[in-house]
Amino acid sequence: MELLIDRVSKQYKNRIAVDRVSLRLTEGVHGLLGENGAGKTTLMRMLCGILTPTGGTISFDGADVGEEAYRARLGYLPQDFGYYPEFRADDFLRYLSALKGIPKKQAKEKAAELLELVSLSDAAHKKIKTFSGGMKQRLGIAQALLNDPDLLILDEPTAGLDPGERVRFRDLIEQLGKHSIVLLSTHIVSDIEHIADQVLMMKDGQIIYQGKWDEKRGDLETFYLEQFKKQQSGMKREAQQ
Amino acid sequence: MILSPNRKTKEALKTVFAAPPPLHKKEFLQKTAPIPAKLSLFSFLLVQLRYIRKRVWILAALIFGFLFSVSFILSADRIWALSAFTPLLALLTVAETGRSEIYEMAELEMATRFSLRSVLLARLCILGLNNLFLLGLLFPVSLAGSHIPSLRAVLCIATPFLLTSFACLCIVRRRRERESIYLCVGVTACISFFTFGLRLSAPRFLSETPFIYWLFAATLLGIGTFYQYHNLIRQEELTWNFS
Repeated sequence: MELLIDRVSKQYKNRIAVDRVSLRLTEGVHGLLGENGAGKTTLMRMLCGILTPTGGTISFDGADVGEEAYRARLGYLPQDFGYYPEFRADDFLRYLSALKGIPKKQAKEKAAELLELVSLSDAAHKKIKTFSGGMKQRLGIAQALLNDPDLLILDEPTAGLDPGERVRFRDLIEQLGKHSIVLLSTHIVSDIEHIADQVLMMKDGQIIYQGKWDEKRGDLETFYLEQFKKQQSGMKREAQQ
Repeated sequence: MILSPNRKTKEALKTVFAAPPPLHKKEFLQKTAPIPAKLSLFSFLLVQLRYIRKRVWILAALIFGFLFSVSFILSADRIWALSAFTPLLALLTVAETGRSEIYEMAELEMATRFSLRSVLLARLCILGLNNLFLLGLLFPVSLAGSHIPSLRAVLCIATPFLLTSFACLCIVRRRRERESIYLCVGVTACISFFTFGLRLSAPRFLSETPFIYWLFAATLLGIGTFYQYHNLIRQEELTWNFS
């Protein structure tokens, strides 16, 4: 299983949001760290086929990002998403199951299973408009897992979750990373500190660090801030020269 | 319950030894209940048909019922009535087709196997056929006994319909938010009332306006509507943010 991102760029008018990013990702949890405006969401949208790259290619086990075969194995949780106002939690999951090509009977069982997993079984027949932010986020996580994705893209998945839910979520992601490629973006270091097999750091559209992380190397947050300082002082030196 | 010796041994073994963890569970489950490699167009349309809101069918039926009844009551104004009310059918179609944008579901739908483009085309196909069917039933009834030539009558009915479609699509594509539906309702009401007003203030407008003006207006609006639907379906990129 391999996600190949080859010199992918995204330019919009005068701004380069993603600048020649090349990555080769295999099974495991890959944490994408970066401040607001770094280009994380733009990169993730390109990986899901929502935005078209200005340059470069994206493929998963040989299937290009624009192909149905790619999207059939993809699970995506956007940073923010809406819902049709008449939908209840189970309706929402069944609707997305239909779009993912899951047969009706299997969709019903899968929806029940996932609602149980994210502790929303009691709210299965309640309208989503009555949900709190955390409940809605958990529902979003559930829909991303409907088709047992081999490629799971999660954009700021822990936003709105309370500490207990965040811990449960991290455990879930760790489990999923054993059999899938999970790319998880966040600007909260603790979300990935203990579960990421590989840490990617992004700034101004570029990947400034890519590597494995273990606790013996110290505090990830300190390292993260150091990388940003290094990058900034490197840029200053170049400007002076 | 008295167990046989073999059964006793089996029960004893179960309590002494834990079952090994399952191997290749995911692959086994995928084999037994695989996601179908292809879904036929008809099956996909049936799926989308289920997710078109019931209120859309009810409202369309009400509009049809009203216009059908009116056709028997009015003698001279059937075409005017049809012209004034077809914008409502256009509103229903645009509102249903543009739901993904209005309710911010587009990003989720775009990342699925049968992406948003297929969903929009399916909805448009279903609702378009429905409108064609309803208008096809109403048109001969409205035209019966009328002195207005058929082609002129078609253009008179199509023009407010296309104007509403074009205007509402522009709103939905530019204002990707829930409030845009209220704007669409407002625009539709204005077009309907304007058509009514024209009937009251200029009753011969329908029959005396040169045919070429109707043809020009309908063609221009038809092209504009097609262009807007084409871009909606092509899904020019989501409003891009700098995250």
